[in-house]
Amino acid sequence: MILRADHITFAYASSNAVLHDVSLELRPGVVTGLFGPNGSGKSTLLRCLNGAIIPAAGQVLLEKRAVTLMTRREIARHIAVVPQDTPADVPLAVRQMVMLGRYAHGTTWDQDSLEDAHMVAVCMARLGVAHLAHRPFSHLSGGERQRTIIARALAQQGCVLLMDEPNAHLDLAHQLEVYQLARTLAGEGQAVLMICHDLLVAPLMVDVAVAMHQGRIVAAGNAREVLTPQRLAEVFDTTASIVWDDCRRVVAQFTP
Amino acid sequence: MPVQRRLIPAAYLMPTLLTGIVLAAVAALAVGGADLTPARIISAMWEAVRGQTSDDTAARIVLGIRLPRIVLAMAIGSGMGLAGLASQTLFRNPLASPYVLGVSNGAAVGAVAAMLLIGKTISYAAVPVMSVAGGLAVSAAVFVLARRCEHFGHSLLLAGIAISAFCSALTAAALYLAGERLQTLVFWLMGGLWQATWRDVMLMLPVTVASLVALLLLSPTMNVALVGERSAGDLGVNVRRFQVLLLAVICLTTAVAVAVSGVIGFIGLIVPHLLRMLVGADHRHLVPASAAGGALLLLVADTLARTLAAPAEIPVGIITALVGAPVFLWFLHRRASGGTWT
Repeated sequence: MILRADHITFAYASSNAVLHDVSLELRPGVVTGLFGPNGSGKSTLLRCLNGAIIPAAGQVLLEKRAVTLMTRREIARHIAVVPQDTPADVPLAVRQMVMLGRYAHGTTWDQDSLEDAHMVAVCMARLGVAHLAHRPFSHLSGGERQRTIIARALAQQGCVLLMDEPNAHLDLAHQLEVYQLARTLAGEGQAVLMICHDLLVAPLMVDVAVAMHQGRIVAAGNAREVLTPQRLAEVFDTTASIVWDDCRRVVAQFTP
Repeated sequence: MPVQRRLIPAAYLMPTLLTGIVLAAVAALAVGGADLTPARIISAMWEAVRGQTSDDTAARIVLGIRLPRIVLAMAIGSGMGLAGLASQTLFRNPLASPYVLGVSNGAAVGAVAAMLLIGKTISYAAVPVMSVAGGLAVSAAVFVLARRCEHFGHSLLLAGIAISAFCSALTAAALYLAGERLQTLVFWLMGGLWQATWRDVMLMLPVTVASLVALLLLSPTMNVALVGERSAGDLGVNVRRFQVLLLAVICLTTAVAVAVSGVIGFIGLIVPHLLRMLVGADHRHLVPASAAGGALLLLVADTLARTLAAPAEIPVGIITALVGAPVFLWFLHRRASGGTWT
């Protein structure tokens, strides 16, 4: 299914508009990377995309349905979110945490059906947290916690995956794993959106790069064409250039 | 490797609690100021079951005094256990109790006002009515104040604390002005079940049953709510509707409980917390366990309250705290190395 933001504008009550006339399309099989400095509206856009907040103008459509007209449960069956932060003090074991991803699929009482248990086991194995199943979430390392949350998002079995800086707490090896996972999921037909701060690996791993600046999308397309030195200077207010060589490698040069 | 360990498997907990309740109820029926033999108690109950009315003293004591008091203690204890669990879920804080919203203080203001006016304009029947009205008025005020804020739970807490303080001041003022009625008011405020009647049971029991059913239905959602408002929404919870339902359970249960028994502290705080340490945070186990645990604790505490210093009555709130606090501390000590909640 295609998730599409159509000319959306959003403002929090107390401030100026955070998003201005933003349009974005997330297609099955495509990994979209959302780049931009802090405060450029990336997370707000993500929250609009899953209907958590309602744009003042424009609309978000899942296929042809406005997400604002769907129930939270319906949305959660289609769109999974990996949040930027999850409180570490949640008093659940890893398996119970991943099981929460099945909430939207359950009627009230069959939350732990055989199908749910199977799905949870598959998702835990996929993220390499199966051996932690009975460990309290609060005892995990940052990386294990993040992988548990991603497993929970997979357990939702949605067709769209929105990840808000999924790599923020991960070391390099685990970052690469998350990128690989995003690619695999896209290969399976999911539409994936990742908010990225890393300009070294992410540009190689996304199909579409979208650059945001002050609540607007300033460029979208092939990462190589979007993340040019001029645009990095404009968007990130820093002098940097990403040099692409032909072996699908990038070298970044930063001028302090 | 530290594994999330449970002190008692969840499957054993409910049978244990229910057995405890039955034993405590039998003991509570058997003990009391009047010296009744077990045979007389049983025959009085048997006659009542067969529909025979007898005017004998034993029947009046057992059916008119002890039995309603036992049922009321269980209903209030259960209700407060459930309201406490709902509060801890709503505020995502294991130290929340149903009293933090100020509902109990509002109910106390209503009751105190009613008692001060008794004999002048209104009758004793008005005490629970005014009390429930006071509690619900505070609930409504807190809800209206917090309604528009993004962090609903947080705002509720702040509004509740402020209104709580305001109501405490009103109660204090009423005590100051009470004159010769001071002792009655103070004794009522301490909480107790010595005036338990079937009328009180009819008021409290339906509320407790309704809360239990509501929270059982909400228990999977309560599990999701552990991850915070925002993530719960992402996982498919209509967060605002859920919070309003929890709020309704807390306010209604607390207002009615305070109306029939005064402010009995500690049960709403300690029961869910203790059981969470015992069986873990899965609300599908915690909800029935909190209902049963609350019923057991208040039944035992109330039986002690009316027998320890018989024929005098000790306010039951003193017993719940005296018995509850050390037990609570003991568990806390045992689990000191565990997580923040469990």
